Amino acid sequence: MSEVQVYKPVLDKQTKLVVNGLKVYFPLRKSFVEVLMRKPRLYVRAVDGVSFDVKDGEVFALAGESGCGKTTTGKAVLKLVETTSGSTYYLPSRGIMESNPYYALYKKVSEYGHIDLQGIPDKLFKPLRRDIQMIWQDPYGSLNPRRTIFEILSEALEIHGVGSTKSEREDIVAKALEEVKLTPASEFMYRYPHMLSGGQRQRVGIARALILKPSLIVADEPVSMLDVSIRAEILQLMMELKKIHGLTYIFITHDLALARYISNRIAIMYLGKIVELGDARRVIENPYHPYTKALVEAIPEPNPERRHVIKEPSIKGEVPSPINVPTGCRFHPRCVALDQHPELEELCKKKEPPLIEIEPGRYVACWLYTKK
Amino acid sequence: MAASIRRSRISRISESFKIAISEIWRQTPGKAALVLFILLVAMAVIAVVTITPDFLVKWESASYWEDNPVVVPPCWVNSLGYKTAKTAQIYFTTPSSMEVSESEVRYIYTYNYTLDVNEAPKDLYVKAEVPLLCEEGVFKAPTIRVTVERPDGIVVLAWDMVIEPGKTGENVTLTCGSLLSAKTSKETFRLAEVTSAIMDKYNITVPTEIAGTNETYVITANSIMRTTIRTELENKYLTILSVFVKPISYKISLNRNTTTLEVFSKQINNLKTTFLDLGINIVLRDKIIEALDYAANNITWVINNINTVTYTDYLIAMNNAYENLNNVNKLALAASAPVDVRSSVDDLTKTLGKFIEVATTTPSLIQPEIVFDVLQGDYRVNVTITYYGVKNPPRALSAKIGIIVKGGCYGILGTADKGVDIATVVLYGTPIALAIGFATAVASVFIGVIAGIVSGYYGGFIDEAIQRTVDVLGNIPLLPILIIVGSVAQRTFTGEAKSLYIILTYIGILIIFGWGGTAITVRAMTLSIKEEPYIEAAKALGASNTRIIFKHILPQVLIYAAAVLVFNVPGAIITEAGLSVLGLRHGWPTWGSVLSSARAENRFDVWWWILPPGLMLSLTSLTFVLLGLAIERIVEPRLRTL
Repeated sequence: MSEVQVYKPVLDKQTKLVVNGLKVYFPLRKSFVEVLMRKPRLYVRAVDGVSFDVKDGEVFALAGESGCGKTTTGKAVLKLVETTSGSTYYLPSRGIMESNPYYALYKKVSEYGHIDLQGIPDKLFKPLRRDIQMIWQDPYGSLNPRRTIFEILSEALEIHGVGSTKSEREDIVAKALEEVKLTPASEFMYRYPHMLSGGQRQRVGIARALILKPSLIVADEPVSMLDVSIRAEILQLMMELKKIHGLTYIFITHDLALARYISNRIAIMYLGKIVELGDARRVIENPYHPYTKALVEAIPEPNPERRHVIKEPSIKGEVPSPINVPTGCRFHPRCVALDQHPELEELCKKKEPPLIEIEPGRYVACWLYTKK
Repeated sequence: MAASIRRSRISRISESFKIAISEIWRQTPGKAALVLFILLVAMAVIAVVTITPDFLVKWESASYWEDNPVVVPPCWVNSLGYKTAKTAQIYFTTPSSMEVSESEVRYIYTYNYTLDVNEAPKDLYVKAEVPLLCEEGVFKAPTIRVTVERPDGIVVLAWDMVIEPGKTGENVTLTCGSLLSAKTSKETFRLAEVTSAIMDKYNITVPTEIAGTNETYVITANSIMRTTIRTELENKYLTILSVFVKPISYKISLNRNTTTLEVFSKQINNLKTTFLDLGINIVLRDKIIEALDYAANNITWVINNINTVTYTDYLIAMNNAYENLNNVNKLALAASAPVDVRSSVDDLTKTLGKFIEVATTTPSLIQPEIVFDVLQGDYRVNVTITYYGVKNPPRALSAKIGIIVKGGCYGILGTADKGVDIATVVLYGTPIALAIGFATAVASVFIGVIAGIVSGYYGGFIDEAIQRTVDVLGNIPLLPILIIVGSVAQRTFTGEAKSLYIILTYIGILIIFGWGGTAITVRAMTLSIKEEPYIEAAKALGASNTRIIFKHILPQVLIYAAAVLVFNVPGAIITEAGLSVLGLRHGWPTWGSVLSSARAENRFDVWWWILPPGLMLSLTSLTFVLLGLAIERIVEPRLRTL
């Protein structure tokens, strides 16, 4: 390989969202002694330079273990956390933008009408929120226990001025509830969250995300807190709704099996960086990066006959703190492949590997492949 | 159907209120709290409805309570074994009876008062407002006569007064029917007649073995006795109360001390020696000696018979001695005795004359001792309004007659100094206490909630500023500040609304220093609510900070705030009472001011003065603490298992 193709997100007509070099650092509060000793401020590098693109109508999975920054990336897209640097370009759906009086003010970054989300002040961002919504991980915490389902759902309508009278809003809410199969809607509408089961609550969560008719939905582990028995139902519902409304999902999950099942493309994150990106099926069936390999190997074996085989984990140690990220390849202290290739040690410890294309549409950030 | 489930906001609020009440009612302390609270509110409502506008200003003036006995226990103590005369404040608007004769018309108001304890009432008087009648253009002012029929049959004419229109109504133009007011007083009480009536009834006279037989001297002796007893009655009891007494024993004795008489006799003997040594006309000298002998003999006779002598004989002998000395005086002048001798005779004569005069007008010789006691039984007080020369007297006289007997007990909670009715003040203190408590609690909780939410939600510099302010306020001792500000306020404010301003100042200080705790807790609550996933979800929907604060944070904080509010109510009430007791008075009838007056009068022994306001303060605190506990259990479900 003479010409190394470093990953660069594509910005074309089909691209719904581009995340380019996104960094989210959370500053740590300095202690009094540290202030006196004039120590430099430390940061939690939750997201440390993430780039990817999401095509219109696809399901893009962000996978990785807890604390790798996948949720933060999702929230950064919705501007729920402040980004340190990097940019997010978003192509709004047609209908939303026509009714948005600020549209003309937005800075366009492409001929297709992509908008730089980071460059928009909060006030002007509000109409765009109708177009980008989120499904939350925790169906218990994400619904205010003191408000009825109607109040929870109509809040979005009130904020965006959808429906002028209460009965109009009731109709919209009822329709949304029927859409997520909470019927009879009139009965569910005036219940409180604690009167519903976890699955029903998550349906409410989905209804809340859908009620404003968005085109991009960031689904933050939407089934991880549900009973296994109802996960499939919820996923099926999400896929169904995707088909009906032509939605695009950014599906954040730690469950690779699930990611393979629902997503078109997948990005594997480790400590705030994408280590592997590509077609979901291919990435999971044939992982390149040692970390991806370890993750795939950790997927529980569905075949009961092979359950008793205790697999040797192909990873060592613990996740390092995102405050003190290891130098060089941030995975090297845990890398099993490094042990087999001692010649790379110098490189891995010193230099951060770039995300390069090793097959068409497959990108890996590992010196193992870069050197080939 | 959706419509059947649809509910309006108001009905939902009232429903949740009902649920809250039933939740409180389910708990034992909550039940007690609700009962007490309803009682307090009922008292406050009654007070607000019945209070007269001038009460707040006049409640501390003695004239407002003039008909009440001063510092007497409540009347129910009689059933605990106390013995107190009952208090009667009877006002008549229609006469009990009416008598018409050719020359006069009498309207009679009758009141029966039963004295069943061995304690005289403290006062008795009649207040009258009578109309001025007119006939053929002539004003007819009435006379007022108050008689008391005693249980022993004596009818005492206690007062007999003519109402003179010119004196009572100052510069008012008199018209027919204009009311003339009159009040019986100690000064116009006919004590002499009352005493005489009692003496006559109980047959108290100077006995013959003391008075002797001479009619003049017997009368003198009796008159001295009566005067003496009258003075004694005047000093020992209030003049008026002699209406309620009877003599139970008496002893009238004669002063049998001879010291003065022996001095007289010695001085006469000295004069005799002086005259014997003088070189004057022998005939005259013998006459003088003879007269001096007579005088000396009379006095010696009294000295010798001092143990058996009567008042009559005593005075006759002394008079004889006086006459003889007078004679000596004349003879000495005729004999042209030396000036110094004559003047000494004259002095002695005058001294003796003085002695006799004193003996016939003052109790120097006649010494009565009478023991009086309360006369129990049914008294009948008659007030007679008499108009003279009225040909067409009105049937219904528009007079208002008040018969006041101040007893030894009053009302349901007794009275304080100036006759202040403690029950009334305690009742009227309730709405003021509740107002002070609620105003302070509501305002400080309101500020605390706002400050806490702003501090917790926005963080940063605002948070730091608010929290440091709270720290500073929390470390300033409240009581000294209140005392300083209170005394400044007392001097600064003047005019009619002074009391209100002083109380508002107290409330202001309490609010300024009272919101800190709430702010700290609300800040902590806000910090934790702010991190809830549903807040982030709301932000993802595009909710503004205002919306998040009002729709998500405030409703949760408010329930806690309700509990804090209830807990904060008694604090302000007790602080106000404490300040009043410390002497920082504002002038309104509060429980604290009743305690304060007890302290000012140094009457810590008067339980009915201290206990009722004290108990009301404790009960109010108890009510709100119990209520707060009950609400807290609803707010904090973890406590329900306790």
